[in-house]
Amino acid sequence: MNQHDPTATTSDTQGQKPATTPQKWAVWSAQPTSPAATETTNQTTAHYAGSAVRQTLRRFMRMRASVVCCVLLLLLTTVSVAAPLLATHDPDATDLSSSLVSPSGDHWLGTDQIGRDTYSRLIYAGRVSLLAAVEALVVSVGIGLPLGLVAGFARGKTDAIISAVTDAVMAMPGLLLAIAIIGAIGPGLTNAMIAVGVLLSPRFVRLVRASVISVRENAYIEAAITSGTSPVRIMGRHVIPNILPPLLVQAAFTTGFAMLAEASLSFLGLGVQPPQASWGSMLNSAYQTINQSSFQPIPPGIAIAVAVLAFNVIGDGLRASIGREEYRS
Amino acid sequence: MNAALEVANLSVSFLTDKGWVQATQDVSFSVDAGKILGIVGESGSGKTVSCLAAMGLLERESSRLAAGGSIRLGGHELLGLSSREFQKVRGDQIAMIFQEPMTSLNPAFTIGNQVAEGLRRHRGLTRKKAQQRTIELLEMVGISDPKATVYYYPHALSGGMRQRAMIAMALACEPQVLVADEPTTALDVTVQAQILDLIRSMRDELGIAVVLITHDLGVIAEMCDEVAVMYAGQVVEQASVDELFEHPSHPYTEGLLASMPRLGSNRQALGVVPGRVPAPWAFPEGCRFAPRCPYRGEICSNPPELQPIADGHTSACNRVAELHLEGIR
Amino acid sequence: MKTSGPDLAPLLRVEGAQVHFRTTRFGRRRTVQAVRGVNLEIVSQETVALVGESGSGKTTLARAIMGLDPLHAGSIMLDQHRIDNLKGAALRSLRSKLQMVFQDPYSSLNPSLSVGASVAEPIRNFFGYSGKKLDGAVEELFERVGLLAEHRHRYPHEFSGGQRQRIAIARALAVQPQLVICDEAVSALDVSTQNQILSLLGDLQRDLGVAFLFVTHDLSVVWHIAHKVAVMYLGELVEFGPVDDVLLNPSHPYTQSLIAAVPVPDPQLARQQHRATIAGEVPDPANPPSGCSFASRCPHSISRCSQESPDWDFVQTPNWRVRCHLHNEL
Repeated sequence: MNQHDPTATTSDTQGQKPATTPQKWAVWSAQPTSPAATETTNQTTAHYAGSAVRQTLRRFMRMRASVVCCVLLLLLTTVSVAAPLLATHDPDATDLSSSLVSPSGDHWLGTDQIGRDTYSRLIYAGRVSLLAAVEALVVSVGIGLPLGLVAGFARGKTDAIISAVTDAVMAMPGLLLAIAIIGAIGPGLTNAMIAVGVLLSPRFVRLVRASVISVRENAYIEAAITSGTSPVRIMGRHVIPNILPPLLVQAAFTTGFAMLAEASLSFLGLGVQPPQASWGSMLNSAYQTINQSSFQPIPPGIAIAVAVLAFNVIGDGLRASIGREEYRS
Repeated sequence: MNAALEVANLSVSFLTDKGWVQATQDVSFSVDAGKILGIVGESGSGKTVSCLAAMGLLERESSRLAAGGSIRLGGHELLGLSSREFQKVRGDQIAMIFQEPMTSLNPAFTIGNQVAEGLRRHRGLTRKKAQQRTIELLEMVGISDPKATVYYYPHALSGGMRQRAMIAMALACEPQVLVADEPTTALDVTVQAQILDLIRSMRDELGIAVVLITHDLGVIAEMCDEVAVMYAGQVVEQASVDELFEHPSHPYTEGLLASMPRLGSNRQALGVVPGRVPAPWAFPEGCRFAPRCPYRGEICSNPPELQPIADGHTSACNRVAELHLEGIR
Repeated sequence: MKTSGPDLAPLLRVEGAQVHFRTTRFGRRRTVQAVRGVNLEIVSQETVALVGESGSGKTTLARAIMGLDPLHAGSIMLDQHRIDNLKGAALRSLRSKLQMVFQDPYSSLNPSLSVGASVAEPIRNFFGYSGKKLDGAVEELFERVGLLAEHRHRYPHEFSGGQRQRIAIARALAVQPQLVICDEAVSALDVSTQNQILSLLGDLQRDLGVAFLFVTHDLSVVWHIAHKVAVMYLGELVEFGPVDDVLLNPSHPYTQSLIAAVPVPDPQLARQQHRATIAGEVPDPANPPSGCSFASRCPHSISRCSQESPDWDFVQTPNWRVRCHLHNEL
């Protein structure tokens, strides 16, 4: 053996691997290892077949409360969308002769102070309330997602500036800020919901930033870099899909909160403008006549409570079912 | 003579997505004072679970032990103790160290605090006495500046130093048994050698019994007197270390020995045990190793029993009488 | 038969590589010199193992070669082209020649992509394949690394650690790189699975002629896979040479103590030879000692060692080099 030529010594130790190794255990460099002889995906994993999304869905379906709430929200949405078909009266038609009547065959949930049918108004108001909540969500995600992505990716100075602004917004008392924004851009439901959306966006900035930073730590991001994937594609294909789970959870909670904020602002008269109604404004007008009819605040009150609760329960359900065994199942 | 720790017929089940699943079946082993027992096997073989069960460290809500098992520490039965009673024994008469010392040390307390805690709780020492004893202990485990180290927080120490601190903590109350779960897997080979030396010298000086869980047969060869080989939740072979390495009598042991990379060995002789350990809910009927075993025959559809084949040597192979397995020589 | 030899230009040539990190520790800013002037050459179709303790800078050096960490000084040439100063598109196109297999098979695959999509990514980026052609290439790669082709539609959580590492290897080999860096690629696996992967890498090298830089702390693995071994300590190489020479007759005291620390898997031998363990741990890389970096832990150190940094010296042949003042006397 030629000790002075390393390539010679190495080639004869590595090169001479006879295919006729007698050992029963030797797979070492016999033939390319056949799938059957090595590890095949066996029964252990068959159970988990399907993408992470499908698994999450399967787990979510097992949470009864969340599923019930989903059905409930779906029902609310359907009813709101189909309001023209389901309404028994014109929601804005006044009839002073029958003001503040109790529930009856004609007026299922009674009437308000100026004789508008509460049931019809309630389902029309559901449209406004749900739409308003979605508006606020879109605004807050629309602001929060890009800022969070930039902050999480760029780090350094950009991150510091975005985080400082975020903290400043979060430090201000919420509703007061919303009222100030509405004062500046004028009242109205859309303006109110833009204000709420701006107000809620820091939550998304923070969440997205933190998620991006933790996703970035994974070796698959570096593997994508070394695979020649462009930064934009890395963001869209490797980062965003993996920060979606917490985002979804936060979206559910935020929608619930936006609904509550809409109700508060409309209650204060800063949201929806008459004669249009939202659950919050209905509650407001019912509240003013609570001495004459103690029943009137109940329908909008229940509607708000149920819808907000539903969003929160769904958020909890999502949180419990997403990514529980992301790794090492 | 009474064994320091005697575990018999330990069968652990866990509550999983698939209902109750038996992770280990009838695991028995014992270790005498002043001896080191090695438990070896691939991940998923049940070695850690068995030891956690023996330590009473399994969560009571999601795990259970089958009737008929027993854990005897110095002749006293531990099974059936309440969690509170178990806590008194643990840390006092039996102690455990883990693979990653960072996760088993509390980052919010100083090293001194954590070592002294056991002394104060189990031995009722005063703060001052406990501190003094802590410094002695840290010195004993080879920490160079024990007087300063008592005031350090865990993150200020290197991996090797943390493992030393863990050992000091485990030995604080002079337990009869030390259970070490992969104590050196996370450490560099040079530091591993230091820690193994330390465990050995503690055994010699204090006469404690050590249960050493590892996947590394090199560590077994260097450290142990007795070895139990585990596969798929069962002990498949048990023998003295020399006997096991020279005359393995279970094909799995032979496979492990054959697939051990060895410096200076014949490069072509590196073997492979095909496949991998099945998950607990997919343990095969009959001999659990049969699907991976090159010697499997028809008889292997029967579950084998752990039977003595020589003095102090047991094996659970149906074909033990016909097979002539190769050891390291 | 190997055609590589000292007369051929090396595939990879690292010269005077330095990597620095700025960190804060206990509130103080400091500069960690993770890699301090490393020279390393890899010939095509060979496997070089880079070994050392944690904190030796071996992973940082590998990442610097990959372009994942910037060089502070020095140069890296691949196939006679300088690669350490590339940016943007030029850097991206270089990646097809140089690939990496990461340590943790659980975090190196995107959990929301099917494994086939992960393997397809570099092929689409570099070769522009799509549709049937892309799918066919992925299928072939899966079979090449010992996986069932129909499993390419599954998601990472359905695979074991060993299978995931096969997938990661398939992704690395997809664009026919000349050099694949394996960063502790088998450390997280059980020994039997580890051997299967090592065997696969050996086959791939034989069939595809790829070179490997194998970063590991496990010397017994090095013995079985590498042609040459580079021993790193505190950001510097201290010994470099053919694996048989370095591992059987180590000439640097650090290599000697690393080898002495490997447990002997034979109970009788283990009892006979009492290991001389070296004391202490790798010094703080923010304050590297002057002179020989190993002097503070070296059992043989003399006063010269802590004053004067040793230069490279040959041991027997020009292929086997060591940095130790005393290697001739030991």
